[in-house]
Amino acid sequence: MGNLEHNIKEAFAAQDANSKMANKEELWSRLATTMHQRKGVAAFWRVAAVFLGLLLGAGVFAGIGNRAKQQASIESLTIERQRLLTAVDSLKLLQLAEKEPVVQVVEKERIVYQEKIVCKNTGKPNTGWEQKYLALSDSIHQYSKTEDNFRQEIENLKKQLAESEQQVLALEKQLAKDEGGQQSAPFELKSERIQLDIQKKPTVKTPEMEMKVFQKSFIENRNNLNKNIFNK
Amino acid sequence: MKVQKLIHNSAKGDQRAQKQFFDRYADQLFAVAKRYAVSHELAEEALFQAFLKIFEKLPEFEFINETAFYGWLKRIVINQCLMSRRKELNTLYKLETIDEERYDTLFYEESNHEALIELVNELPDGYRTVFLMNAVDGYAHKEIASMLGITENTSRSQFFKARKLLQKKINKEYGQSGT
Repeated sequence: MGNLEHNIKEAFAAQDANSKMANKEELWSRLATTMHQRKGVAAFWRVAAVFLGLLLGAGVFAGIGNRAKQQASIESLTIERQRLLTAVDSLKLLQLAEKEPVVQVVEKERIVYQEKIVCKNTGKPNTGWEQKYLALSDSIHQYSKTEDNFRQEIENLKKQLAESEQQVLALEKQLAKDEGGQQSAPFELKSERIQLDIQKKPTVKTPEMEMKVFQKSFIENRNNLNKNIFNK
Repeated sequence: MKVQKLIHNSAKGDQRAQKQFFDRYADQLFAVAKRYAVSHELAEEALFQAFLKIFEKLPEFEFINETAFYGWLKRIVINQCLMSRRKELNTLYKLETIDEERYDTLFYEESNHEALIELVNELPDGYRTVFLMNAVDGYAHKEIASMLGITENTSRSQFFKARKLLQKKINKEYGQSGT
């Protein structure tokens, strides 16, 4: 370095050493204020950075989770696809029924008998309980028929009995008339002689012999109209 | 307070230490800023911005000795001053040409410091910046080139041109005085 530069350097060094800043305090106050403001802003950004970092972390975590989920989904879909492909292949190999024309030569006027199976309802009971039910209903029907016959017969018998009773009454009346004309004359039915004794009350009381004009059933001897008629 | 402790406390954000730090270096750094800034106001603004940067970067600085530390501070201030002028200076370096043949290589040996500073300040802007950076603040042409965004050769040529112009001015002012 030459003397010129050396002298100039010295001159500037001396100037620097003696230099005094006029409004140093003002600059410092401005500097302090700015730094304080920047600190506040820095703190805000620090908090924001932490928040953003957490958000980013959560995003990354969610992304990884989602990716794993999608991977699993893709795998399952691949398996499903493989299964479907196999199914399609197997379906392709299946033999389908196809109509093919068959030429059949049939001789003229020759009857060909073929058995034709036709499903028909025979009406026969197939099950055991149905058969039992039919048998029971038949027997019930038979029973009611028989009961009707019996009733009819009883009615007939009752009619005949009533006729017989009337005949007996008519006979009794006739007999009473006849007794008025021929008193104490011996009554002969057969060749043998019958001696009439004093008439006795019938002692034997059988239900078969009891005559009933009135159908109502009476209590023993109380107001028994039938008894009153026949007992003089 | 020792410089290292002062730096440490300032880096931690201790406002009292920061004030002490500012008081210690503000005057010298302001002189540096004034050398490179166009005006007094711009020098102040550059110093303000430089101090903000210094306090921001202080925790990252590894202290070796005070000279190195002061060099670091000076570089921040000079960079701050040149930041806004880089484009303008680049244009100047392309345009400024001096007829070298007209000047003799004379050396000024003894002179008044203030007059010398005055002569340097009268140099064209582009020349003055490179000359100050090389001769006064001791930056190599490579560093100057990177700081100003020019080539090393441009820095070198600008320096020699500045030197020649300065010699001419000295000769004019004080007359031919030596070899």
